[in-house]
Formats: sequence, C-alpha cells, structure tokens
Amino acid sequence: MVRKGINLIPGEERFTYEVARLQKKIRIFALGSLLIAVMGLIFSYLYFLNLGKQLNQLSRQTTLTETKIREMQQKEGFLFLIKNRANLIGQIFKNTTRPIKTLVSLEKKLPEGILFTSFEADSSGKIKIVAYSKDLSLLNQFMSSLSDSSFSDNFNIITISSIGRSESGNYSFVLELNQK
Amino acid sequence: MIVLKILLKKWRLFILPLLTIILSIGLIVTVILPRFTISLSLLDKIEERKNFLSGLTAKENDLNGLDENSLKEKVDFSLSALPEEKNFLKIVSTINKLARDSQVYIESLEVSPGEVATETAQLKAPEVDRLTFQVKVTGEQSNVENFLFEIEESLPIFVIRTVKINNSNRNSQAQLILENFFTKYPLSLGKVSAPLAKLSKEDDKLFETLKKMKSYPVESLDITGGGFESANKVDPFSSE
Repeated sequence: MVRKGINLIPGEERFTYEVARLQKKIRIFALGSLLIAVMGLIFSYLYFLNLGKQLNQLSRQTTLTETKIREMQQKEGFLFLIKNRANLIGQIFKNTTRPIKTLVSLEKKLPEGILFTSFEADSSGKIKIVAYSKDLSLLNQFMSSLSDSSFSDNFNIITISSIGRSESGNYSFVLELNQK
Repeated sequence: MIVLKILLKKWRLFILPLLTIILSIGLIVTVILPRFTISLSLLDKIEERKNFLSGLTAKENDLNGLDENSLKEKVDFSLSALPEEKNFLKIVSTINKLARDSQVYIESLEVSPGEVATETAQLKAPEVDRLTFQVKVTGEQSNVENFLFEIEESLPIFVIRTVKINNSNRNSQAQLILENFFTKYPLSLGKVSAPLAKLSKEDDKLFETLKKMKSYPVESLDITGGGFESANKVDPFSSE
C-alpha cells in the first residue's frame, strides 16, 4: 500500500519551513563533522603522544641495556676469542688424523709373534705398516681382530697384502689402512 | 531541485555550516590523516625497537649467566692450544722435554716457518698460520712410541703430518714432520647488538679434549754438540 503525505502548508510558509529544515540538517551535519574532526584531532594527538612516550621509553631502555652490555664486554670478548679458537682448532682436528693413536690401538691387537718393522702414516689418514709374523695362524688371528667392528668402523680400507716368506721362515706382510 | 532553489536563494544562511564542514574536512585531511600515517610508521618503529630490545635483553641475560672464571680458563686453554704468535722456543722446549722424559735422542730438528710441503697434506684452515718441524729421533721402540704419543697429546697443538718409524731389534728411528699452529686474535667484537656467540656441545667437547692435553712451561735448552759441520766453523763469541 502506498501512503502519500499531503503538504497542506501554503507556498510561502512552505518555502520558509523547507529552508529551516535544510538549515537544521546542514547545521547538524556541520556540527557532527566538526565534532568528529575535533575528537579525531584530540584522539590522534593523545595517541601520537602515547606512541612518542613509548618510543622514548624503549630508547631509554635500549641505551641502558647497551650500557650494561658494554660493561660486560670483557666477557663477550673472552667468549668471542674462545669461539674463534674453538672453530679453528675444530677445523684442524677435523682435517687431520692421529696416526700414533692408531698405532697404539693396532699394537694392542697385535698377538705375540708379530712385529712391526716399519710404520708410515700421514695426517690424511693413510697408514702403511710392514710387519713380520712367525706363522700364518698368528697373521690370521691378527686379521680377525682387525675386522672387529669397534676397530674397523674407523677405517675406509684395511688391506693386508704382499704376504711373503723370508729365508728365516717368517712371514712378511704389508698392512694398509685408510682412516675415515 | 527544491534544495538547489533554497541554496541559491538563501545561501547566506548556509555559509557558516558549510564553512564548518569545509573546516572539518580540511582538519581531517591536513592534520588527522597525516598524523595517522605517522602513527602507523611509529608503530612499526616501536615494534622494531621492541624486537631490538628483546635481542639486547637476551644478550644481557646470557652475558650475566656466563661465569668469568670459567671463560678465563677456556681462554687460557684455547690460547695455549692455538697461540697468537709463533713461539719457536716453547715448541722446541716442549719437544725437548718430551724427548728427555721418554728417553729418546733427538738426532735432528729442522724448522721451516710457515711452509707446507705438499698440497694434499695442507690443512684446510686458511686463517691459521703454521710452523713446520722435521724431527728425527732414535731410542727404544716403546720410548719412541711414547714420545710420539705424547707429542700428539701436548699443547700447543701438534699435528703429525707424516711419520716414518723403522724398527730394528728393540730400537726405533722415527722421522716426523710436525705442524704447529698460531693465529692472530680476532680483530673486532662487532656491534653491541650483534648476537652473542654461543658455545656448542662440540665446542665443550673440544675443550674437554684440550683439558686432557698437557702444556709444558718453557725451559732453558741445553744444546751440546751438533750444529753445522764445516772446516771454516768459527764461533764469533769464542774470543770474548
């Protein structure tokens, strides 16, 4: 159902009424916008102030913490030096092997009746040993002990070659190892 | 249409409210919006500062938690393992002491400062300088082995680059090329805000290994005989 309002106000008055109504609307809108603008201004000012305060506080705290850290710079220096040395020493150890430790552990596995006559090694992990054995069973025993995983896991290659027999009846052989 | 008519006829009545509206809009555009943009950047800055500060605070806490004595001990160990400068006397003294303790005789000792013989033998530690020694020792087999073992276990770090041991009866002769290392201190600590270097488990393990190694004080060397054999050998101090 359509309802239509009937304007009963006569022409002149109606015009004045319309003017007053529009003026009121615009005034309200103007005051509203002014209020919003002023409120926005106050809010933004206060917010800005608060942010500035927070930033200042953070800057003060940062300066204070930096000063405290500077006071402990000797500790930091020590740590820096230790870390530097640890890295370099670690690198040195990582790139080298300790042949004499290997020799000692090999000798522990050596049955009586086998003697090393020469030992050659380098820091890359290559080891060459010339040895003599009184008989083949001892050599066999030695080879078995070398294949023990607690020992052999440290090497890429373990080979026994050039097995020969000397005039005295002893067996000579060459043991080559390559450390991991 | 009627509004337009009213505005045209009675425009004076609307000046003030319209000016107010313009003023409000002007205020919003020229003051509030720029301030809002600045506030946003300030918020970013605050966030950035907070992160920076939390990093600094973590560093401060870490530094507070460090024991200075333990650090000093580690510094001593690391510097005795890898000194700042080459200390020829200390190395020779260590080799000499180990030889004496192990009852082996040093036949010869040569030093080549900073020289590396073969490329393959070169260690991959470019920041480190090295001194290379060639040592020839003789003695009883077990003594020679003991000497070599102790060399590997002593500080400053010795790396046996090559070793040749020849055994005959119970005697041994060993020829070895030893490398000893030294390097400068790190130059700068960096910024205060730089994160604190932390020691890893591997580093701790390394220091445990270094603790087990022995460092010997420098002692006076008593060298008799040897030297270069020449018909023209004249000691310039002999006439003093």
